[in-house]
Amino acid sequence: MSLLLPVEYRLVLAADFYSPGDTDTDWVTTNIGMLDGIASGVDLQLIMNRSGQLTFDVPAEDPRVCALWDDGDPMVSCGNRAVKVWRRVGDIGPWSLIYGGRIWSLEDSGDGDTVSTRVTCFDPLKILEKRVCRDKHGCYFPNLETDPAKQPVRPNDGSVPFYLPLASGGSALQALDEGDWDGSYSSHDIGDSGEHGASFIIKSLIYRTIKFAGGNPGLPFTGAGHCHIELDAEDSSHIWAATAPLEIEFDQQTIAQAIQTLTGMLNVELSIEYIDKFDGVFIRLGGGPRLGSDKPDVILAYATEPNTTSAFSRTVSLDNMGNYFDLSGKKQAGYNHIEQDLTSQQKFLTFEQVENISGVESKKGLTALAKERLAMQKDPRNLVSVVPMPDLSPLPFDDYYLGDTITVEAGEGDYPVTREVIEGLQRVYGIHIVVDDDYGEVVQELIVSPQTGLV
Amino acid sequence: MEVGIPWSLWTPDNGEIVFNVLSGDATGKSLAPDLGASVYPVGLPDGNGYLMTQIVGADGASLRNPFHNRPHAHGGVVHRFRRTDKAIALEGLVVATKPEYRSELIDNLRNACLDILSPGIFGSPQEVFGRLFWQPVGSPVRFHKVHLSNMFDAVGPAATEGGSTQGIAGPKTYSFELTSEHPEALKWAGDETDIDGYGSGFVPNDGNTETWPVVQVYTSGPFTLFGPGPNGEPSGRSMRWGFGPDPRQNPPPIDGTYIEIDMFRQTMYWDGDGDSALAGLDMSNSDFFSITAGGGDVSTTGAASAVKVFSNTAWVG
Repeated sequence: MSLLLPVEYRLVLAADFYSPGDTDTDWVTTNIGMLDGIASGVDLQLIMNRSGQLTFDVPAEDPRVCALWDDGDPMVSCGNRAVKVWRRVGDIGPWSLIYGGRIWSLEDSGDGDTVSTRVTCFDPLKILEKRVCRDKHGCYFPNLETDPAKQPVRPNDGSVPFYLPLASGGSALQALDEGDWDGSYSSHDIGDSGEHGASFIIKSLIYRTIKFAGGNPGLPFTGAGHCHIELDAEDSSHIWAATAPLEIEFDQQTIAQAIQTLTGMLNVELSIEYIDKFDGVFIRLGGGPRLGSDKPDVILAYATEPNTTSAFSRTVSLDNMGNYFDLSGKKQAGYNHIEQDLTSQQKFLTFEQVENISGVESKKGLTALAKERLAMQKDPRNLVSVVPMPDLSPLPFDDYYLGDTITVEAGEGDYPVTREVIEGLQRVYGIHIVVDDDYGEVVQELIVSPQTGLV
Repeated sequence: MEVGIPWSLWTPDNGEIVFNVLSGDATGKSLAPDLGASVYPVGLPDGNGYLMTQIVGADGASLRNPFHNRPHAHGGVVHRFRRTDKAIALEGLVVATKPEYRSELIDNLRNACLDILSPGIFGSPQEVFGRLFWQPVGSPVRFHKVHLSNMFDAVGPAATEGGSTQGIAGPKTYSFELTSEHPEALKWAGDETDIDGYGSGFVPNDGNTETWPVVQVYTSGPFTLFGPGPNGEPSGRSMRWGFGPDPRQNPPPIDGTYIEIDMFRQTMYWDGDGDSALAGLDMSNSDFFSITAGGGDVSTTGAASAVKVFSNTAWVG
C-alpha cells in the first residue's frame, strides 16, 4: 500500500469544441490552462454506474479564469470547456488521469470584497439524461418512418406503440445495424450472439444516439450527435461482456433512465475509464455482470486495529426488505415466477413484493430478476459509511476502487463500541474525495455495503 | 526583522520612498537605482526623513499547519506544512524640522501607498504593484512584489517649528501594511542562465528556500526541459512539449520564436505575450518545477536551440 507519500492533484482546463473534419468525431479537445494553483475546495464524487461529479471554486477575477480564449468565451465557460483531473502519489513521476468531465454549471458569486466562481463538472454519462432511447432505425415516438420495413414491430392488439423492442437472442431483432455513412460508425456491429442482456442494450442505445441524434428517424451522422463516450477500446480493454439475458422495453425514456433501470436490476455494471484523448472523448465505457476485484488485504478499521478510519456510520433497516417475490411480465403471457427465502421469513416475517414488471417479457428474464432481487433484499439493508484517515489508510485508485471488495472492521473487542462488531468484506459503491487545500487528498466518505446488499 | 538597515518602497507613479535617511535628501540612496525612479525625501534640510521603527511579518510568511487526531489513539497525524502569503506591517516615525516638511513627507508616503492599492488581483492585467526593498547587513538587496493591504495612517501630536533643541517639529508615527503573493523574498539582482540546445546549465539559488524561475525556450519543434527534483535531487522533473498524445500537437504548431514558461503560474506563452503553448504539453509526463536552495541543473533536448532561465535567489525572510 502506498502510505505516507504525498498525493498531488492537477486540474487541467480544456476547450471542447465542434470542428468538423478535424477528427473522426468532429470534436476537438485542447488544453488551455492550469487551475490547480487557484482551485480550492476540490470535491470529486464517484458513484458506481453514475456520472462522476467534480466541483471546485476559483477566483473569478484571475486571468486564468476570466481572460478570453480564442473562441471569444472566458477561459472558464459553461458547456464548451472541460476539466481533466490528474493525480500522482509522490512528488516525482508520471501523472495518472482519474477524471474528465465537461463544465456543466457555473455559479458566480461575490460579496463586498471578493468574487468567486463555483465550477461543477460531470463526465459524459450526464449527457445521456438528454438523449432519448431509439430503435435500430433511429426512431423514437412518434415514429415518422413511412417505410413499413423500418417501422417498429407493432403488437396485434391494435395499440400504437412507440416502444423499443430489444430481444435477447432473437436474430430478427438483433440484426446488424446498417450504417448509412462511412467513417467509424459504418459497421454498426453491436455484438455477436454471445452478447446478451443489459450490457448489450446499453451499448446499443449509446451507439444509436451517437448515430441518429437530432432526428426522428435519425439523420445521417453528424458530430453534434456525439456524446463524448468511446465504446470500443482498441486494445480490447473495457469490453462489453455478456450479461444475463434480458428483454425489456423503454417507453419515452432517456438513455440515463434506461441505464438506471438496467443497473438497478443488477444485470449489469458499467466500467468507466477516463482517457486522455483530444477528439472530444472523455471516457471509455464498458459493461459486464460484475466489476471490481476482491482485495481483502485492504483494511479500513474503526475502533479496532489498525485504526485507519476517523469516522463511521451504519444504517440497518427493514425498509427495502423482500423475501417473497412474485413477478410477472407486462403481457402476463400465462407465466410468472415466484422466489422466496423461508429462513428470512422465519426471522423477520414475510415481506411480499408482487409486481408486474413493465417491459420484461420472457420467463427467463423474470426468473433471473426474481432471483437477483431476493438475494439482494432478503436481509435488512446494511449500509456502511466510513471516513478513511488521511496519510494512514489505503489509497483510493491505487489500493482500491469502485466495485472492489475490501475488508471493513468496526468495534472489534469484548464490548464493541459500535453496538455490533462489523468484520468482513464490503463492496465499494461510492468514493467521495476532497482535495483539502492544506493536506491534500482526503476520502471524505466511502460508501460500502456487503457484497450482496443493496445500496 | 531588522529595522536599522536600508529599506525602501518603490511604486510605479510615486517614486521610491527611502527609509532611515534623515538627511532630508535620499538622492543616491536608492536600493534599486536601475529603476530610475525619483527618490524621497528630496530637497529637504537635514533632520527630515522617515525612520523605520518596527517591521512585523517580513521574517517569514505564516504557516498553514494541518493536523488530525490519531483515531482512537494518543497523538496526532501532522501533515505537510505550507506557507501563506506574506503580510508585512511597517511602522515608523516621520521626522521633520518644520510642519510643512512633515506634511510633505506624509503626503509622499501616503501617495506611494495609494499608488499600490491595486485594482486587480496579482497577475491580472489591471494589477498595480510596488516593490519593498531592503538590504540585510552583508547581503545583497532583497525585495517583495507587494500590494497595499491596510491603509496608511499617520498619528501624533501637532507641533510648531523648532520645538526642541534639535529643531524637530513633533514626529508623527506612520503605519501601513503590505501583502506579497509569494512567501519568499527574492534577490533584486536576478540571474540569467543561458543554455545551448542539448546543453545543461547550473541555475543558482544562494538563498534558503525554493525559487520559481521563468524559462524562455527558443524552439522550432518538440523539446524536453529537465529540472532538479523537488527536494534538491540532481534530476527528477521534466517538461515534455510536443510529444504528448494530442495528435494536433504532435508535432505542435510553431507560433513564435520562443515559449516563455512561468513556473509559478503554470503558463506557457509564445514570445511571452502571444498564443498559449500549453496545448502541446504532455500532462502525464510534465511538471512545472522550482529551483531549490543551493541551485540546480537545467538541461534540454530536442528541437530547442537555446534556453534562458531567469531566476532570483530566494530567502524565507
